[in-house]
Amino acid sequence: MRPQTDEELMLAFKGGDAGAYEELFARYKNAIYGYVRRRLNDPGRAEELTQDVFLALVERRNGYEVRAGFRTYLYRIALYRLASELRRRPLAEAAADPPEARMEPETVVQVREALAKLDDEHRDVLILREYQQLSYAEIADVLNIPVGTVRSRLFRAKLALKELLLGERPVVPGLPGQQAGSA
Amino acid sequence: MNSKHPVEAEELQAYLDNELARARRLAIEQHVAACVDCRRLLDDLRAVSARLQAWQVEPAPPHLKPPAFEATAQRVRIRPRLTWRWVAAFGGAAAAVLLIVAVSIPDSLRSRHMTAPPPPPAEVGKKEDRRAPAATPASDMASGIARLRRAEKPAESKDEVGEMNRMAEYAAEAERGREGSLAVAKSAVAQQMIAQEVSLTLMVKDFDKGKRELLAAVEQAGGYIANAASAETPNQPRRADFVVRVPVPQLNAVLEAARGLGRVTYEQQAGEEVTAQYVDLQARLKNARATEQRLVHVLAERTGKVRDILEVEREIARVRQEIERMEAQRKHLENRVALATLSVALVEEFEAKLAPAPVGTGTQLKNALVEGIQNFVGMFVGLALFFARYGLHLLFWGGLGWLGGRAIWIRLRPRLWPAV
Repeated sequence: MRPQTDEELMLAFKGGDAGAYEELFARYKNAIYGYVRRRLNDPGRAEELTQDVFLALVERRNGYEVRAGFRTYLYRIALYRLASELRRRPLAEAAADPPEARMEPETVVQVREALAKLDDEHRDVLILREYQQLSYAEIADVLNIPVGTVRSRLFRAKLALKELLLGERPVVPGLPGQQAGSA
Repeated sequence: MNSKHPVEAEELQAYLDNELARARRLAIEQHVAACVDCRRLLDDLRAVSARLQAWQVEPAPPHLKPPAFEATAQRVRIRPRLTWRWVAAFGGAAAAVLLIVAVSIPDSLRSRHMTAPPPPPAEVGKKEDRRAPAATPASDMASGIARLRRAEKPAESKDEVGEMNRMAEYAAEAERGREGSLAVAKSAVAQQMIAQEVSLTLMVKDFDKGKRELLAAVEQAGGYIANAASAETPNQPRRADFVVRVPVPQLNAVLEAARGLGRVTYEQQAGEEVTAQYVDLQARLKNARATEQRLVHVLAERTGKVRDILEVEREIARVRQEIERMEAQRKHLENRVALATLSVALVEEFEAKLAPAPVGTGTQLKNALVEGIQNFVGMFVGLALFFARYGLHLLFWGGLGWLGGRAIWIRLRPRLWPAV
């Protein structure tokens, strides 16, 4: 039997199919957990927020329309939940080293700290692309920005990270200098 | 993009991400093969992506289950985190309770000393439960409503302090229990609340004038007619029953006006004290509101599963329904206290009148003749209708009976009369 697409499952879930809902959860729990986990640095809270995202999915299931891709729909919910969480929670607290940070390799710490130095708009685009593997169009949909903006933000974020991680200011051909996306 | 670099730098990242059309990909590949700078930038971008992949997070824990969307009896995580906010809230609650008790106890003692003894019961009337004050001063007659509004104000002002204080108040009250809040509410309601009811039966000479004047007195007093019924039967006195609601301060004026309409044949005044009922209602209402606030707070801070959230929402709906029911009861009680119920029966003094002249003999004969013809014609019409309706039945069953009887007769006749 042909595996159902996310959208088909979502429509089935909208119609009251609990199995479809569980299948969607199984497909996306790691992705959503990973996404919020990277933003919060708190496994316990990331777990709760992941549940919150799927809770919101349940609550809003009747508002889902087939023209919206399910993945972007879900990530948009996650993005809003994260924004809400980060508003309530001081940024410093969210970005603080997690308890297991002392066990992390140096490279991981560097990456985490470098990402923390990016401003939100660059960090969002970068995480959605590099870790969540969303396409440019999907990122544009999630963040509600043009695809061209996604491309430029991603590029600037990469340049900034190059400097932060590799300690070298990258040379951009054809440009006399460039704006890095660091905060 | 310029003549030396026919590709935009951003396109290199899009190229790495496979986000370009095929023609553009080929153009970039050709350019990168020839351009050292662009190749170096491409390598840098790849290196950054590789470094980023060093940070991998663990997969979602196995115990992470999808929030179920069907309702169960499990509750959401109620236990809040013990933060300084909660500590402050509990501290604030304790202080608020001490303040209320300190303020309300002297008030209740003072009011007990100042309350005048109730006036003696009225002499008229067959039954008297409790006579309401006959001539209550207007200032005192601002009645339960105004007093109770004043009594409620402390609680409302506390509500305005904010969510934290409300929660703290609720927490403290929960510890004290319902009895505690009842005591606080009782002390706040220093005055008695009495719902007055008066019944009056009046014998009036001029029935219409009596009705008009009674209704005018009610209207002038700012009251209204809750119910009105009148009956008019030949050779019987006319009667009108009114149930009117008048503001308590105007009750005596309306009663005086009503008594002046005619002779009072019955009067009853009763006062039902609803203070305890009101106080109990207030206390329950306060507790229910605190519960609702707490549930709303729990919902706002929700971290549980869907079924838990649904359970909380259902509980909120139930508490809200309870609050609205109690609000309605409270308004009803306040209404009963603020407006006295006056039942007035107006009965006309009966004057016997001569009976109308009897019908003439000729008319009686004519009527009898018409009635006889109608009965006669009616008999034939009835017979015709009977045969039309049951004729076939009669023929069928009659024929059947006749044949059966004839057969029996033929068989029995030789035995009965052998000589014939």
